[in-house]
Amino acid sequence: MDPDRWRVIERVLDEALAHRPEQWQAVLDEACSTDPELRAEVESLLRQATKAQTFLASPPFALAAAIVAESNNGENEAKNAGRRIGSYRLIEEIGRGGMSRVFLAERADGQFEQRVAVKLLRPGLDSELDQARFRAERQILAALNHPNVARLFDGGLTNDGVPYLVLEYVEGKPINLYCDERKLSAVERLELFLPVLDAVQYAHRNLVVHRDLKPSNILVTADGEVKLLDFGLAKLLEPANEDVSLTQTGQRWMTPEYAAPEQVRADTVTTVTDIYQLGAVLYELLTGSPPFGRRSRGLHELEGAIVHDEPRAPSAAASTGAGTGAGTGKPLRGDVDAILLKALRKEPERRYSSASAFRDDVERFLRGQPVSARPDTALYRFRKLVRRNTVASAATALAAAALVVATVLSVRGMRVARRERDHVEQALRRSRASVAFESLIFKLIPVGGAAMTYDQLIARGRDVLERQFRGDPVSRMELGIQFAQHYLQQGNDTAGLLLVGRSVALADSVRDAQMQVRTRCEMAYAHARAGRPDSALAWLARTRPFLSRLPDVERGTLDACQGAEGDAIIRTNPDSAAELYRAIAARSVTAGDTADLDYANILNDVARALHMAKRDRESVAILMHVADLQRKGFGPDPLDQAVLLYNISAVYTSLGEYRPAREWLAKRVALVPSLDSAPQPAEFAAYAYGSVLYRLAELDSAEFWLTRAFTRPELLWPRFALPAHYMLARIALARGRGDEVRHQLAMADSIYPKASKLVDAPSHGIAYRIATMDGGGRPLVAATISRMLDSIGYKPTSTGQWFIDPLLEGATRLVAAGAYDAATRYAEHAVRIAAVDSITYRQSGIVGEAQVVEARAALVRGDSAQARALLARAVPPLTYGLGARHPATLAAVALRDSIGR
Amino acid sequence: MLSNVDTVNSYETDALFPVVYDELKRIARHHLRTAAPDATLCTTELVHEAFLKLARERGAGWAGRAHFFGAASRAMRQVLVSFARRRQALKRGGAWQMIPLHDGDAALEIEMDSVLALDGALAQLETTNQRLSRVVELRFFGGLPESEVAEVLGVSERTVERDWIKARMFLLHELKRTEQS
Repeated sequence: MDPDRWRVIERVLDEALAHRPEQWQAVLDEACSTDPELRAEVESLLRQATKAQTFLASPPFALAAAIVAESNNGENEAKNAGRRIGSYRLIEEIGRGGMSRVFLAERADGQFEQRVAVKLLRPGLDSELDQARFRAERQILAALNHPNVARLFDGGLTNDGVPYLVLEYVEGKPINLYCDERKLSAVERLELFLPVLDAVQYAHRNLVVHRDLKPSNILVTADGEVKLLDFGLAKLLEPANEDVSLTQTGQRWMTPEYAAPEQVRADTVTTVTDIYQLGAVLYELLTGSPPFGRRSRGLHELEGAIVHDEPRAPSAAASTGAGTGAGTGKPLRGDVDAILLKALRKEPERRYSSASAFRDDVERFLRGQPVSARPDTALYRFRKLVRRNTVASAATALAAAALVVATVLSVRGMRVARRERDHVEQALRRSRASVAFESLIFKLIPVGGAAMTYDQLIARGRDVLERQFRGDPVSRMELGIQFAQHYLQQGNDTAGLLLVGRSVALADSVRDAQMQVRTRCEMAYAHARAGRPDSALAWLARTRPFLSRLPDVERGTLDACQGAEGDAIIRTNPDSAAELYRAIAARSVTAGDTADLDYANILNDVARALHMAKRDRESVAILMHVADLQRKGFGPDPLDQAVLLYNISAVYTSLGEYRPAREWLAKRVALVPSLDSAPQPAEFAAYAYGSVLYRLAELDSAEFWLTRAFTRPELLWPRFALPAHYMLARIALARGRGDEVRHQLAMADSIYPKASKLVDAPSHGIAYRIATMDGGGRPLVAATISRMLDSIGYKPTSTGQWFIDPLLEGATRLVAAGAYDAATRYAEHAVRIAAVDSITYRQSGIVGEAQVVEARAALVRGDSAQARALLARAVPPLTYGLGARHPATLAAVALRDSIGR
Repeated sequence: MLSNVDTVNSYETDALFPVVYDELKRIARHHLRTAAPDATLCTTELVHEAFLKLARERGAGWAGRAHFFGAASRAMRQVLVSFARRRQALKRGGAWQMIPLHDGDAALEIEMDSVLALDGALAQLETTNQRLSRVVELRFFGGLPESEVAEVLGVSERTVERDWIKARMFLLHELKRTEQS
């Protein structure tokens, strides 16, 4: 610019900058009244004012150091041409990057003519490289043999220790350049992408993850053949030290434009990370730019956007982008948007679970068939809300290990979510109701605020929608089921059943066979939840004739039916319920849907049923499998993790293995404290932790956690509150705090009516009374205990775990009173109930404790050989279940040793 | 004082170029060795340290500290620009046979492009108002705080503050203009 002109501009600019931005207009009005051109120039400068504040904020030293380092390497490498590496001679350098130099090379032994690419990895890296692993990984990669994957022929270390790889030489162009140069249409681009997806699927099947998919790694040859480069390279070069790989390598290997959110956050990288990157590349092919733009916008900004922002719909981006989507018969809108946005979801488990699922959708789109991907909408947020409110009322309680009630919770997202996906989305969409529904939800759910409670939202939504869809039975049917689910979850069975009933009638009136089946399943499900298994089964029976008439049962319908049946019979026939849940899980496996939360949830149901069938060992194995899935990144929802950790500990508790139970609970209570929403309030975990600590004789900690369980007393189920009060009473008793004891007992009494329907409820009070009853003569004690056990329905054939504590307390009292026969009988029975399998004899603290009581009875009888044998058997399970330093273990050991002498 | 900086000639800058280059190389090697988690922050501190050390060592022959910083900032700019150019040339060489088997640092390319664009805009600013362009060199390429820029240029801090924002507005405006054309 002409310096004189600038001086004039600068003067006005100075004037403006001396004022606040809102005064600039006035300043300009005065200064440029006669010169509109001047005004325009100053204004366009002032428009940069905000951006200028942060522009060039930090000096470019790191960048300078990086390029100096890089070109320095380059100079060293320039000497490489003509050099021999392995059986290859380097010809010329053909590519370079931060991590490596690539050379065209040929066989040096002249045996046959073969051109390859030799990749020399950055010198200096070898010091960090785990050579054994490098070899192992190399072998895995060398085994990859697919027409669309560039082969790895060989590799090793050069004489001076630089790792190198010998690769198939691909003469091609990056896929984006190829598409642009040939001016391919959107449809042609999608077709070209199919072999890319095939190649990735192939690699994933061979357990190789790419991690760095981007256009420059996807070449297209002049013949139009696609070749993927650098599969597994990122992992191959990862240093052995994991800490380093998380921070340094992760960053080093990430190409920010195509990085998945979990890579930016340095979280676990899985095959689904590749799905995201494929989505990002396809997005660029169709719109001309990666989903969140390029690094030129600033690295931090780009990374922030990857983690937090939703990408623009490709159709919208394409219209403003390089315009590559133009010239196609089919618009990007709708299906392609949905496909890409599904691949690009922030949460790995919500993306396509495999490259082949991704491919299927692209192919379906190309064939003009409906695709499976659906836009992520407010409906999803709503559903999430529903899911979070699901478990509290739906979870059914089960067996009780006496004072410690081990309740395995259910994550009832499974069927709700699947049915919504299969039906609500499709059917609602078909009937146009979804648009209204979503916009309504948008209006009703304030983003980030809690202006409305969930109940208010539902009530208002139901009201508005029922009115809006008066003349549209299909939509009303769907909505009825939606809202019914809410009422059932909230325990309002009447309203829930009424709504489902209305949907059944609607389905019959429009004769929609699929819906007739489904609404009846919903009815069965609703009854099962409301605790009416017989009605549930009756509804399922009514479903069958419709089911046989359906030519093609949707998977979701089948899941709903079997799920409802499982729920209906879980109490009476948990073994069969487990099989039904397993069948649902098996369908997920067949469909390749295992990388998702629903799968984890249905496995949780299987575990629940197995637990109720007293197959705790199998139950815990399944839960461990779920934990494993979570560790691999398939279930990052911390809420479900909370339930899972809780459930694992509940099963261990039920097995009498209190030490493992405690470990898992410690993990649970360490989770984010904000996880106190309805399905798994922190109070549950506090209760469970407190009761396990009580069992482990850590009374101070137990008291702390049990008290904490009453932080919001209204949230703690009576089934938990009741035993908690008795435990607190026992602790207070041990501490000699009489007032506290009376207070806890009064609280227990006040809760009792609410818990009275529970089968185990009376046992807690009886166990307490037996343990604390006044002494007396032997016949009196025996008669009193017998009467008390009668009062809770005890019979010598009972199998309920809740009898264990009253039995053991009774046996202990009877030993003290000298009634060894009755004591032995009770203790033996307790062992029979507690020992669900042979392993429990080695690991269950309950079994150990019962055997100690038996041993004491034997001593009273004068049979010290029997006592010694029983104690020898009791010590291992006590040590395992309760710990070597537990008072009961120490006492048993001392007793054993005293008899020995 | 102002004359000090204005007399920085190309000879002096050229003399500092290898010095700055060597410093950067040393720092880069240091990073490779230590794998510092926050390379940006670290590098900035290291370069500062190096500049201060050099200023002490060479200050006498360089007509003082101010003069030295002027030349060092200019040298930093030239290091960046010359490597960016070299890289660009390399990139243009034979499109077909150039297979980017791994361009681990695509991001670097992009930054290099913006270095060249910035250099162009800065050249425009130089002909428009030399002092503003000096402020950019010292502040951005030299990494000097405003107080030191003021000292080097012999003007008040307030002026540097005002110049710095004006210069950046000019550059953004210029970058936008060239981007559009």
